[in-house]
Amino acid sequence: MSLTSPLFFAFLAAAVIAFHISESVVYRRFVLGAANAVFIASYLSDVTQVLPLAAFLALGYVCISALHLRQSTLVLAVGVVAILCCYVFLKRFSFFEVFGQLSFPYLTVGLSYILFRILHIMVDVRSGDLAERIGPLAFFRFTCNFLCFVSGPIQRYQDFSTMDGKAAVQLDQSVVYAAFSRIATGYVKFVIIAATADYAFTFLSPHLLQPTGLPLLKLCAVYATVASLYTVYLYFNFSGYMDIVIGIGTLLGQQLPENFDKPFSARSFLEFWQRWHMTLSQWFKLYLFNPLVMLLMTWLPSPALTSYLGVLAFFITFGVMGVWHGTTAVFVIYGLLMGAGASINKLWQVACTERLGKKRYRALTQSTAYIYVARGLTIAYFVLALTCLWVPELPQFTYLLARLGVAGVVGTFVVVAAAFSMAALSLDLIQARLRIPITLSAIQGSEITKNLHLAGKMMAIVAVATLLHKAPDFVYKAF
Amino acid sequence: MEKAEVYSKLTAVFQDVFDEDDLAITPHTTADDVDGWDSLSHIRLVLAVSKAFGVKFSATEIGGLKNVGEFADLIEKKA
Repeated sequence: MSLTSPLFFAFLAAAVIAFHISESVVYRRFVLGAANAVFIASYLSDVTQVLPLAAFLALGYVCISALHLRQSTLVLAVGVVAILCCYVFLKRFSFFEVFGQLSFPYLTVGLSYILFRILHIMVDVRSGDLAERIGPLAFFRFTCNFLCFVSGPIQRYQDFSTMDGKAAVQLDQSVVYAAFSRIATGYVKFVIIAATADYAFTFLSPHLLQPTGLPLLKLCAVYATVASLYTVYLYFNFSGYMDIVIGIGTLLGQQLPENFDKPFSARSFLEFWQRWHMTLSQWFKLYLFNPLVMLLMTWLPSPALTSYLGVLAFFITFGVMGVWHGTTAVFVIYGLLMGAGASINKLWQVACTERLGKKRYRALTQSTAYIYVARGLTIAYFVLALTCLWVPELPQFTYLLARLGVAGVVGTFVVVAAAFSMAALSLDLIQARLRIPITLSAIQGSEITKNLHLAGKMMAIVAVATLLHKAPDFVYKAF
Repeated sequence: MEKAEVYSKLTAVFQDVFDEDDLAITPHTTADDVDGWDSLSHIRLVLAVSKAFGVKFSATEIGGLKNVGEFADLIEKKA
């Protein structure tokens, strides 16, 4: 079901109204479960298409039940291996083609995120962090929550369980207004900004892979523009989607976790990953990075090795995250690039601290010039590394790299970094100087202005959607 | 274990891990207040605390600590 389809709105209205007919927990849970089933069914044209998903869920449930019976490391290890094998098989990874695949078409949407939910429950049941026995219906409501089904946010079961149809939902005027405002903002991002960026991206990107070559300078300019447009598209598409589902969540008594926290204000690559796709990076930190670093430090306890162990753990963690994003070799490159970014950042911090001492390094990182240069470098690195997501086939990827050469890549990187630094600096300066007149701020919070604002957003959505003639799809659905 | 005892032992662990002899901690101390307390040294800290107090921490506990106070409460509960 596309987020911009009339069907989705009808479905949503039905779900919200049905949910509020009664306050009975059993009834509300039934509504949520049924909504999930209807949402998944909208992707199917034949009932057999859902069987692999059902089998994957059943396997997950068996593993969790086994762990409840026996909280042993062996059961956890066997369960994790079984789940991962099943996942890799169903996602048809190109590296494992030898194992064959199912001969009929089936639904793979949602699998990637269900994987994280199942693994997190298994680890937490094993460690005793999750003592509650999860019933099969609760398991379905959690793993297949239609709001998070396509692309997260990745919620923890413990947080889901405190709501799950039983939390009191006070839908007063301000809550409903806030929800609709958030949803409208999401659609502005999704239908206006992301779709326009996508339009320009689709128009320009073929020039990069055309055999009749552009001169190097022009090629770099086009590459910088295309890569930046894709980043704008990805961010506004994804964060717009999150605004929509988080907004709807408040109407259904669900407080979903945030996935973005102003990522483009990050002053380092490591900080960037604390602000971008946060629920995914937190999941990886909790369940892969931390245990991995702990294991490595137990084997090699010398404090002098800390940063090197960190580098190794960054490469492994981001490598796995890269492979999770897609099924071709370019996604391994994506993971390694992210690992390299995090490692360079970490080693730079360590080297600066050793050279300057903690206090002087901290003072340096707070100087204006350092902040904006660091912000530019961070974003430029991310923008170029994202190329892996829009050129996912290895032959095209290497072709583009060969055409750009080292000079082309470095040149583009410098241009994007400088452009972003300047833009961020100018924006911040303008913002600091802008003063809203007192008379304006008084009417800013009034009902009329609030609703005019909302209506304006809706008008803009309608106008741009008509102009573009294209309902955008959700980019992260593919991952 | 008494709270005071937890804090005195914990202070020694912090001073050792962050290599600062005059490092003082309060329940409100967070990673931002201690130079060099990042995701890597956090794991080193957790390992050192596990060893000093003879306790183990789960993935959620390691990732969910907000400040020294929460850490000390957790240790007090486990030790």
